[in-house]
Amino acid sequence: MRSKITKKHLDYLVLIFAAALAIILVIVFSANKQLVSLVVVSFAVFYFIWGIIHHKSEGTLHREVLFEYLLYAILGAVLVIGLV
Amino acid sequence: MAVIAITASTNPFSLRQKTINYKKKPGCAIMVFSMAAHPLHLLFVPHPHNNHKPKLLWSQSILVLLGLLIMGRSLVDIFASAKPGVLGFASQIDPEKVIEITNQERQTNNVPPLVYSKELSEAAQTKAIDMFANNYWAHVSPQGTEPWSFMINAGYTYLHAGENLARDFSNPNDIVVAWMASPTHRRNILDGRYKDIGIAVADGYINGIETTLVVQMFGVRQGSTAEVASGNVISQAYAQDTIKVYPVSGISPFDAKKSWSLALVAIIILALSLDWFFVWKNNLIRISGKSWAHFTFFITMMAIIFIIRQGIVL
Repeated sequence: MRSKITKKHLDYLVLIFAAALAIILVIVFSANKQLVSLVVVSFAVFYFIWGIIHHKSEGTLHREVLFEYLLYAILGAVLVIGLV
Repeated sequence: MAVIAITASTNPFSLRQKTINYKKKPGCAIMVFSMAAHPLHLLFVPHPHNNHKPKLLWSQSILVLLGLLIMGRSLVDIFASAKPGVLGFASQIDPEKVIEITNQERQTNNVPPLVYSKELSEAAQTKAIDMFANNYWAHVSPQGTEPWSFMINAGYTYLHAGENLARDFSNPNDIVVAWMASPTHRRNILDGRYKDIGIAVADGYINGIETTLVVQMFGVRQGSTAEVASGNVISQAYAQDTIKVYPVSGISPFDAKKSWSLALVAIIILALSLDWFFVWKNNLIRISGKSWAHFTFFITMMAIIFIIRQGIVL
């Protein structure tokens, strides 16, 4: 149980670290629209993969969950890309 | 979408628990009916009637939100084209400041500063007028006119020349920062061959949208010696050469699209927060993605939307 909690927390830490990195990179490259787009798309792809790995390790990866992460990643990317 | 939800809680206030208890009693149909929630409640809060997942977070709803997002942005573009002048962006860019910051960048990189050229500013001004008149945003006009033609027509016979374009920036510093972030524009700014600079800031309409254009032209005259004229001598005359610049106007299409995106992302974040809270409170176990993770993802996207500023360079 203890190791499970640790693994879950590690997953969340990785996600928070990636999110912070994405924000920092966007601030650094804010003047370069192409790089901002690249950071946003990369983060969305990362999130989709993170979702798969996280749920697979928890044994809760189902088709619905996979589709949900895919849709959320697409929506998140489109929210930003249209403005860049 | 098939979302299977069961409660792991023995909490007497758990919704699922309530449903089971009611089924054991006579007249349970009426009691279950009394649990019917307000549609808005079902949109944002997990409930037996929405399969323990806010309807707003269902995959179908996400597809609808995606459609609304694209539709909203398209409407802004259609409205801007149909009603020219209602949406737009105009800013007061000080041309002198653009030259000053450009020269600061050159000096930082050990490149001699550029000297203001009246002819290059005239060429830049004519180029800006041509872009508004012919409704284009490019280095080469739809008729095939290249930037160099404007220079020659203005009486500037160049040996080497370059052009940087920018639009919809709110201040001179952001323009130069954006140019410096782009390898080709940076090369122009830091090109040691150039001796002269001209600039025009113009406000007008492109595709029915009010916009502020900045045209920056660089050059070195034919027969120019390698010696550079003393650096900071920049004529003040060019301030009068620029086309009339209007004060900051109303909502730009960018602002409208940004507001629309922020509104949608705020609604999603609200639904995710409520979902996260009620899943935790009721100990709901269900086949679904993690609300906490989705929340982190969309908060990040919201922060990025806030950071992004308008203005493009060419």
